[in-house]
Amino acid sequence: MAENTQDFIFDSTAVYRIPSAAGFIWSEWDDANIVYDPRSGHTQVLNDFARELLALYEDGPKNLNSLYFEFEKILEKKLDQTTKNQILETVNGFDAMGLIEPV
Amino acid sequence: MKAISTFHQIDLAAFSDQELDRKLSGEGVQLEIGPFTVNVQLAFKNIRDDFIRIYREYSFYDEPVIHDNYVHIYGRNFYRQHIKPQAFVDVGMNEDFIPLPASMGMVSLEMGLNWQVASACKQYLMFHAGVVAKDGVGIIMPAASGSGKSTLAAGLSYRGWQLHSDEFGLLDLDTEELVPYPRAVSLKNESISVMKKWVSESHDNHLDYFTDEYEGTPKGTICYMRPTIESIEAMHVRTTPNVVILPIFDPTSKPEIRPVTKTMAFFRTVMSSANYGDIGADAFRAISNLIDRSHVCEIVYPTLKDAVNLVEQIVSENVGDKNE
Repeated sequence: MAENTQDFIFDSTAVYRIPSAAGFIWSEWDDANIVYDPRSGHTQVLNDFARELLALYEDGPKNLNSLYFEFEKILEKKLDQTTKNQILETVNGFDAMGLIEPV
Repeated sequence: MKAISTFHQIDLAAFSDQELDRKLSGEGVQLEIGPFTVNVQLAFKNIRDDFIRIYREYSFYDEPVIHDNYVHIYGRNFYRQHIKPQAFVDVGMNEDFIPLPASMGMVSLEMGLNWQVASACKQYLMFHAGVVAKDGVGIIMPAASGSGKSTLAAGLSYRGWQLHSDEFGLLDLDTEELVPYPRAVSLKNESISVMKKWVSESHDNHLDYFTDEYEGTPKGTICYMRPTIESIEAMHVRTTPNVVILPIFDPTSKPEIRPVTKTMAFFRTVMSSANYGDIGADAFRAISNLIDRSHVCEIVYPTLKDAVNLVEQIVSENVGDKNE
């Protein structure tokens, strides 16, 4: 099943995970979370929302629906469509940055 | 990598100008600048005169040593050494430099030294930044070319601060200390007259501290300034950095200290580093630790005097107690 926003289509059944050899290094300050990926040498900045999503992937591989489910548990309420779109865009961003990979 | 310390060191000042001139035009001198030793040979008399004026308070080795680099400035052939002379730069790595008119004096030498450090230094994390230190306070001022960081670093050094560098900040990745590299300060365009006036307020014979002004370079008019004697003598005295200042020169502004986030300071520091990508994870950790322990801010200033006052204010209000 495909979910789409204006700019991209994402397979919501695909399972993604943090690459096992990622070995991310983190620096966290009040305003942002900075992650260094030793495999690519890239440095990325994540806001708290994105950091929370990536932490869910750090717990184990997930497809989009299970990500929604876990996030609902954190927020203790049903996700509205705006939040789902935000999650979708963020996950797509993780994929583009190489922070997650399909299983 | 480092020259063997048992070799005998001599101050350039121990030699007469004529002796130095002969060495520079012959086998060269093994000049020590901070952590690097470089063999300098200069085929042109006007460049040797400028070199002696700026570097005569430095130390050099009077015997052959393992030098880190060499810079030889030479004429391609007899004609180009004497007729419309062109200064070729040999840094032992490639021959890609376009020769400069020899009338541009030390520009060719400093260009060669810059290129060597920027392209080959991998043992230190390098920032394109002005760096100064005093009483346990180490300040890194990352900024782009033309932002006034050289002038600010030089201005602070002539008001009691140790000049580490006006554009190459070096950080030891093991100890996370700043490594001084006090070369000639490169002043451009309007900053030349500003610094001449600034130095004249505290030093007699202030013009002895400057080379001729070289017009028509790719960066406009360039003049080199000698670091203070105190900075030269302290070229092996390291300091742990604890302040990061992002300087902005704006002649129409009012002097102001602006807060910046740690994240902004982190990325501005990363962007100023020439070898962050080469060093990788250790560079990330070092900059993260630097930003963690540092007071970070931005300053906007219309004059050098304002900038120096702002820096002194930042230090006294934010890091003074930590060093008592």
